[in-house]
Amino acid sequence: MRPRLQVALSFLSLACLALFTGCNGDSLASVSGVVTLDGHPVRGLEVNFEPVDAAPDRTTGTGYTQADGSYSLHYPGYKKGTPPGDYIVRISGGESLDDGTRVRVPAKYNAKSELTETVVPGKNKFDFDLTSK
Amino acid sequence: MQARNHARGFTLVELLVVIAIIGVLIALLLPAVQQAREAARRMSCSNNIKQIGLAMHNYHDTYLALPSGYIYRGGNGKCNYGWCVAILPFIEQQNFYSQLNPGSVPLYNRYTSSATATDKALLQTQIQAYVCPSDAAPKLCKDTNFGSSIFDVAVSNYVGCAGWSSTPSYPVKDGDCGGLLWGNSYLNLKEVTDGTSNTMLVSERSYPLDHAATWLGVGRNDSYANTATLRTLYRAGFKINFDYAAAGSPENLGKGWSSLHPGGVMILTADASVHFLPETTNTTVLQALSYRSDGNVFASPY
Repeated sequence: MRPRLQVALSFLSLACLALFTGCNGDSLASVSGVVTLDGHPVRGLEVNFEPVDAAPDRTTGTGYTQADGSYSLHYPGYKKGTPPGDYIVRISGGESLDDGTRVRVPAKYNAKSELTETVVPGKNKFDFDLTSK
Repeated sequence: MQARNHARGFTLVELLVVIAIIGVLIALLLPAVQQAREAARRMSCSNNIKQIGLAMHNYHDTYLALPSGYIYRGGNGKCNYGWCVAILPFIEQQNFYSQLNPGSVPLYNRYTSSATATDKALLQTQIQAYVCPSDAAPKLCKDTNFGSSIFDVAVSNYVGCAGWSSTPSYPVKDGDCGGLLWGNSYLNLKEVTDGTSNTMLVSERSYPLDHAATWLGVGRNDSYANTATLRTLYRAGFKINFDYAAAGSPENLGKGWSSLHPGGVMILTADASVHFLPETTNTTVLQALSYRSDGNVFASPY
């Protein structure tokens, strides 16, 4: 009886293992922070974290600043956060208004950005203080 | 006697093991069944888009131009018919097209507060060929109005590519946006110098977060809001399957492209081929796909 019980228990544990493997989702790191322009928080800025390497399974994470300057990154697939890795940060005046008025952000923060950040697994907080010259 | 009983019966532990194994097999099978259903719906959606592509090419053969994104006849803020209506005769909806009669009755004469019951019924007709089977959309769009909130109009899922971002212009009035469809575009395929297989023509927009689209056309011709020209067009500069409301920019929902197919959206390129575009596609690739004559080379994402 005793070896039988052992066989049965090993079967059961195998079954549990089979049930719980494959349940680990892809892990995105949460990224948030505050953006200020000349010391003041600005609403409606678009914060893009663009991957440095053009890996096919990674794309740009995006967030929009609120009235208090805070943003949090979101990712395609209706997900929150962004995959860990190295990023070029591009901050531009996001479009939202129909009359086309945008907040002007100098090119050194978007098209010719030199801001880089490394996102690590877990929680990340990156604040950006921009100057409009 | 006792020995015989022991040999014939089975213990509780053995019974539990059998139940556990059956449980594991069912647990393995159930997700596979769900995925098979979704795969079938995606194939059906792919067929819808293929038919749209063939209709576009038949339209091009007849009129020597692709349909325009929408008809622009001047008059600020007016609504008018879009590309989905132009290709109705080519998807075997000639009778419906005749009733709609877009050649003589412009949309702004039907979508009015004094619309008759017939007009209302026409504009609330759902066309199955324009609905993605995966999408969880109601028949009428209640969440984003059509230019003004006179009454709710029919929902559809397929949107035409206007271009990338605001350059060279927004899809307002008859401004060229660099893509294939905008106000009075009527492009001949020879103007697609990047090659028809490298330029997007149609993609899809789902209902739950983006409030889908409508086959009617544009709600207003002088605005690129999600209630106006982007009601039937999209700009690829918006991210695929992206939750704009949660990211802090609810104004931008319903302007881009999205689907309930896991992992991406279906697209139609101008050569009438259908592809599945992953949502993680690099933005430089998406930009090159959306412009018809930017001359950029890109690695195919599909």
